[in-house]
Amino acid sequence: MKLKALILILLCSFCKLLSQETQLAPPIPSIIRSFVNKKIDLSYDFRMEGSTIEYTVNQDKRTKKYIKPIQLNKSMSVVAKVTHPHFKSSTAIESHFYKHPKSRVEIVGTEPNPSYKSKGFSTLTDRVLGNENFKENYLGYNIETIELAIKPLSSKKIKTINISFLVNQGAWIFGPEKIEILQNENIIYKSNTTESTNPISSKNIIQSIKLNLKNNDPLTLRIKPVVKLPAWHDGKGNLAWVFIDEIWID
Amino acid sequence: MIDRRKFTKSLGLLSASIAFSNLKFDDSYVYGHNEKRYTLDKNWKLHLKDSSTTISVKDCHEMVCLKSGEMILLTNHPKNNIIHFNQKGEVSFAGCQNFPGAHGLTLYYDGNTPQLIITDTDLHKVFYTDIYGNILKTIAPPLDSNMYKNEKDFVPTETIVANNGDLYIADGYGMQYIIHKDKTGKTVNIFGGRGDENKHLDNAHGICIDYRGATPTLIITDRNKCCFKRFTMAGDYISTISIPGANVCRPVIKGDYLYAAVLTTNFTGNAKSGFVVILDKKDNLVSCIAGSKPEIGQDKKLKPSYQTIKVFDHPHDVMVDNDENLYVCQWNSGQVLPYKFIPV
Repeated sequence: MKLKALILILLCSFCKLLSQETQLAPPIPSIIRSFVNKKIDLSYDFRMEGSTIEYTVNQDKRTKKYIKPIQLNKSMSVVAKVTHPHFKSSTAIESHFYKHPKSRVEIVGTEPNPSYKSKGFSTLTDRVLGNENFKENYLGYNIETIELAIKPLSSKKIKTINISFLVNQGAWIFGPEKIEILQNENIIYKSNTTESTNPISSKNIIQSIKLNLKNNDPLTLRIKPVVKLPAWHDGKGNLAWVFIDEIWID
Repeated sequence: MIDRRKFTKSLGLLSASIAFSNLKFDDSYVYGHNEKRYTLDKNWKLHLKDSSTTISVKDCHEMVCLKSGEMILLTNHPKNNIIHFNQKGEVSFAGCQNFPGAHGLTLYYDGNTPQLIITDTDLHKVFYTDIYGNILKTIAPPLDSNMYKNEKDFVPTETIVANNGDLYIADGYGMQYIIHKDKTGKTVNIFGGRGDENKHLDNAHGICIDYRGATPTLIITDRNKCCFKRFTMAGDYISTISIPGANVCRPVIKGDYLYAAVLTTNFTGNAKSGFVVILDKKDNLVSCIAGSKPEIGQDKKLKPSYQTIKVFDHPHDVMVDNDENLYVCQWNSGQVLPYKFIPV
């Protein structure tokens, strides 16, 4: 009898494993990335009977069951996934919310590739963050040096500059290899690290560079892409693309 | 020590239970919605007759079902462009190496003789063939029209033949035109093409004739705009059948329903997010296999559809056999064989 019971227990575990071979797709968030300056609602859609959406806020270990839209009013990240008794849980999908920048800037500089110019340079200051769709809300560059002149429109001292990039290696879009910041023709920042060219999933990265300046003089941002795509990549040896969706200062 | 007889008996119990549990847990899930629901036959796969040896495929593009019930799959595998199989998955023919860019597969009957029309996106041509892929007639790019300057502009993805023998070719990876030829091969009309008006197309991947209404009409895929467009047989735009979120492949009509593979979900980063849609004869979305439940929003429009279960990567075509079983074949999905779904 003990043997039978043991086998049945093993069997149930095995069957549960078998039943969960197929995975669910992640839920559909109403917002992937956004600035927040007032209360906004984050909702999820997943129209499948028997499924449950679970989420966590700011890497909290407590998982909550999604029932109604989540109200947000500050910088935070929300991670959600779907579960269902018949299928393996989905991968998690992250939504990121950032404090709405108060300072405004004006940006001009190297023209983007004509195919990826979005609304022009105002794309970088429109307070709309891009998502996985690189055809919208990004300026796309396929050039060895990108130079952008950034003119603060307030008198506040510049503490930090934030640059939001897309990484989508399958589409030949990598993060920057080097970043330099100049003020009054002097280099005041030079990135020490180079962009990792190991394979990664598509994502957005925000480079926050602390400057702690005592003035608000204009800055020049110089970005160098990955010059040669790595050996593992389909486009090995070619120049990588750089996609930027927003630049702001604190 | 475990008694051998007890152990054997337990093994028997284990096997029986696995069979039962597989049925209960693994195969019983019902995909789809409303009147179009299916189970996935996980034990079904293409194999050589009287053997468990499977067949090699590359990208599986399209399938057709003959009146006899025999089915044909078109792939761009260098050795097996054409594969004949039956409901059991038994392969009776695999061969043909004529079509490196095999894409569109259309069945038509010359009298009682079934023939195929194959579009090749690498060769930039359309071919009439017998059911084994032997070429009977070739249709070259329409360079005699003003719309095409060189043959590589013509990248045909699909065809359909009307009852009067007229041929319609969808240039879905090329200039987005529909080329209408009469049964003598003379081009009588070219319509569609790129642009922002309703009559224009953006990835005119597939085409079929809808005989369900009083008057036959053409239904043409506008994949990048997530819709089908209905045209008169003369090429005049009638209406749009919008399926937000669904990058639809060719429309396939069987009985009262229109079936289509959805290559990708339009708004989720695209890769490996396909599903299958089924519309009724009023063009209402009634079921999504491995996709979200069809629902109308507060704005009285169809809510966006998306993949819910990762059954498919990039489904490329759907075929319905004479017993209403559904077969789905896939492009760029790890060279997987077609899947079979059984109606419930």
